[in-house]
Amino acid sequence: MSVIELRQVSKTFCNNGDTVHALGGVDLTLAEGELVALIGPSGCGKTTLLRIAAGLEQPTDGNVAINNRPPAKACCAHQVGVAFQQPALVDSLTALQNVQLTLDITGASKNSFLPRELLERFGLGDSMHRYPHQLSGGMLQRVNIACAMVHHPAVLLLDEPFGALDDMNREHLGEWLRQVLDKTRQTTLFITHSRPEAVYLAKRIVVMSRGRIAAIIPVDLPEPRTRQLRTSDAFLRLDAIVNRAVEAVNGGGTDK
Amino acid sequence: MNKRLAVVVMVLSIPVVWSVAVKALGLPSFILPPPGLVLTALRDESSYLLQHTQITLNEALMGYLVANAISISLALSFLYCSPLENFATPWLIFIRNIPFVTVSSILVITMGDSPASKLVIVILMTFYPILANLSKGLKSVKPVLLDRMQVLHASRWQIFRHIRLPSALPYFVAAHEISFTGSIVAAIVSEYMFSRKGLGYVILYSMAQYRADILYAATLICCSLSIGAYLTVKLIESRIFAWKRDLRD
Repeated sequence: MSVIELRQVSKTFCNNGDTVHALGGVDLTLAEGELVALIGPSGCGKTTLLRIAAGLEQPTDGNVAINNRPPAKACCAHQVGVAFQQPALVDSLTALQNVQLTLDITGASKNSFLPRELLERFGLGDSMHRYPHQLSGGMLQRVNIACAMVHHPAVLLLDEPFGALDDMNREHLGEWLRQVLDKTRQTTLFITHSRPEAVYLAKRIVVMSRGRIAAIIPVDLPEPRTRQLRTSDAFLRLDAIVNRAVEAVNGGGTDK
Repeated sequence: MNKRLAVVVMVLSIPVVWSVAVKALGLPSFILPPPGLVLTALRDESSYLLQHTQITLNEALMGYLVANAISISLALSFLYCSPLENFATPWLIFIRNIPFVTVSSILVITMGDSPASKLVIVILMTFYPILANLSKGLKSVKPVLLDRMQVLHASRWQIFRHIRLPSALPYFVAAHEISFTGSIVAAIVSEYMFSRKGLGYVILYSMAQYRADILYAATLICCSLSIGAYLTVKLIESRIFAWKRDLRD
């Protein structure tokens, strides 16, 4: 059963009289529990696609459905969680209060996590009473993701959640996120600029170019994914395939 | 030099510099009284000065409260009704820029020496910083937080309470550093211009009577009131924003 469905989605912006085609005829479907990575150069429409899926932008053309509902209605039913690249945290609230804020707004359901337990699972047991300015970049992103998933939405949309981190932290948090999502089984669409991150996390990698899907690469790596997998031949082969796909459409590779 | 030491040095320096100036300039005491004479005036005329200080404080606080009520109402209206802001902004700029002396003269003609005229002066001098800062603070929300609220389908009240209010609070408190002290200055000036009560009147009267000791005593009281207002705001600020302290603090 498909949870996220995008059919012929187009988006056009008007910028100082110029028309910018951000997306053109994008078709993408995510099955329940599937984890799909969007990869491509800056300005190729990844964030626009994610914002349309989250109901934050309206498509100029085409249809979007989350569990067979328009995104706005899915948000209304609290079925969507978004972690933005810049942590969406209130400065005057502690990590715990920020996570609790999501539940204060959506209301706790039988499926929602307990904020305290979730932060402990995320390795923030000792830091949950700290304010955002007292947390490191990696901690901030974990709180950011906890805020997005504490109400247990059916769909998680992650916009480069580790984009601002160094390689070591990024790799570590990627592995952590995969473990979390293996347990929660939430349907996840995430944007990344990192090929290894996409290969490690995703079951499918969607390569985007100039507002269109240029290639969809299935990732048939064994589950559960472990750190050792990163040095396996299969992993490196897939990484090379993704790199070639990106180079083919853009005339250059991704950031890493 | 740390902040507290700087304050202590300043407080101790004032009587020293003052005494040195009295000796060095050799002016008569009805022009530049020595600190001792002013302290004597403060003691001997304490009931007279206290009575007028209370009047000034009442006027300042009343005007300040009304200015807050007006500014908060307008800032909220502007947030949720931008056409109203577009309509009101030219009026507010016009009112804000009418020369103070003109406003006072008009008020003397229309209202005479009434509490209302002084209230109007205090309001006119204090409402704008509160309105401008609060308005800006309510709109200076991180866009990513508004996106988060939209995805969570937060109500307008929830967005205000959880997002806009914390964002506006630093701006609002900063406005009070100007407006709270400003309300006291405004009350004194309004009394100076057209009143027979309050510290402004005491200043004017003692000046006319060549009672420099009372003039300086009233000046000390005015300064103390303004500094007290400023420190009150700072104390509230440090309590509200205690979360901003670093872990090492």
